[in-house]
Amino acid sequence: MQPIRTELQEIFRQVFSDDEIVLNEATTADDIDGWDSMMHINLIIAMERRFGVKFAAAEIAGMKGEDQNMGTLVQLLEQKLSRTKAIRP
Amino acid sequence: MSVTSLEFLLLLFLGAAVFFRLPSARLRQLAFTAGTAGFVYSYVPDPAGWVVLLGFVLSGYGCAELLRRRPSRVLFTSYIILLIATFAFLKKYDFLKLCIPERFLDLHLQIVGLSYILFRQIHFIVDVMQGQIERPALWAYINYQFNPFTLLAGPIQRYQDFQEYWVHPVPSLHDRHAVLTAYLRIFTGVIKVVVIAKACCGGYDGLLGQLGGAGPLSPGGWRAAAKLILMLYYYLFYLYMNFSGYCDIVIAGASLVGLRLPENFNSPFLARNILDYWSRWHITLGHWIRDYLFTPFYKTGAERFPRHTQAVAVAGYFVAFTLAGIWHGSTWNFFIYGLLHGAGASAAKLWENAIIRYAGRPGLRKYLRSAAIRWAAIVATFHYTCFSLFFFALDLGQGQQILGRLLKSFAADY
Repeated sequence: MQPIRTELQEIFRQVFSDDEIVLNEATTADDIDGWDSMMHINLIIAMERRFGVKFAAAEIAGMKGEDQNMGTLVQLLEQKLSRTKAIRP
Repeated sequence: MSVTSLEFLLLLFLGAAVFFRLPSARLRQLAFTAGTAGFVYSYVPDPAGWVVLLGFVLSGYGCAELLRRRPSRVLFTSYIILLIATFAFLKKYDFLKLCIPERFLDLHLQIVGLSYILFRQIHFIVDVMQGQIERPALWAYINYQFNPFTLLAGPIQRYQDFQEYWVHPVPSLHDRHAVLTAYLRIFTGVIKVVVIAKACCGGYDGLLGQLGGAGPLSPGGWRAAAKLILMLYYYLFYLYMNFSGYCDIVIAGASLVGLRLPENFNSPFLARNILDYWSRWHITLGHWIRDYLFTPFYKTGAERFPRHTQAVAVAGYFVAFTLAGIWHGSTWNFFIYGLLHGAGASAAKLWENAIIRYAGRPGLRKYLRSAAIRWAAIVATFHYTCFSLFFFALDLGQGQQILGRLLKSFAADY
């Protein structure tokens, strides 16, 4: 879980051009200034490239919903990565 | 059967009283379906209308099933084009008159809720194709589409949330206080629609009568301009009271039978820009536009042109809001309404980017936390959204007539 979070933090800092961003389990979209629809998709594109996964429309929408935070994003990424590994042994 | 009518409210209260006394999920589902069928029948007594509505909905389910078994971009794109063309035909869009003789458009069909059915159908097909709805069920889907609490004007609920309820229709209000609050919300909704919205509508109609007649305006000039502004204020509050009151009734009404619907309003007059506005006003529509129009458009564009993301975003806002504008109504004025909101959304984004460029992220944070700037932005956004309603309330002919009379009265004064 730790390496994914570290990589995510790097992606967030790059996308938002803000080296002060520090992510933890409880970080939500409201905690990061300027996290709007456009930046959200920039993040998605960056995560898809970095981790080699694809997000569905409902997943992209759900990430900014209530009860969603960095912990749930890491969980979703882990699920996707494990499925990818299962498909490509 | 309007949701503010005595018949609807009595049937709702009666249904809510017996719904959870039914011993099994199957019986509750049957009761829900019977209520749904009765509600749709009250609007569509004509069998031809039922056939068209069912055909529209079942085609979506069939297509989703095919795509679930074998995802195909060609099938998906062809079906969506056909679906939107059918929608435009059934809604008799003005632009069709340019290529189809009017007598072919006049089908004399009574149809209800097609605009919202379209949005739910597109969401359903996309989510099934992308594996986000694993086991869609036909019976649940039909009830989802014709659900009387969302059929007429939303909120746009996602199928996944409805299905969860459909499989386990259990009470969502767990104590007496929650039940009483729901009844109070229904009562508040009725007052908003029947008393306040009606009063605002009366004020709007009165001023429209004065501004929209024939001959010179009297009084003209600035006093007539002030009347036009007041007319738009009336219209904005009419829309808000009418729509939010309707949402109060259906959201609270649905909760009485255990169905949780998404909220549709969150202090919209406190929005600080157009993007913020659409996350506060008709929230479920704003989210639908974001998820099924803006996101795919921007994502495709930004992947292809990574150096021009700002231009892609601006194009995306225009495309998404213009389409959403056209969806609101079949006449050309809605096209302009959509364009204005696309322009407003683009301006908000470009302004934010300019602040980041000149003052960096810390500068943006400081800007966002300034109370004076926040209130100035709120007042500006309120008036922009209010004045854009000129192209929502009036068709182009009416708008042109009012503006023409106003300009003539100014010319006469000077």
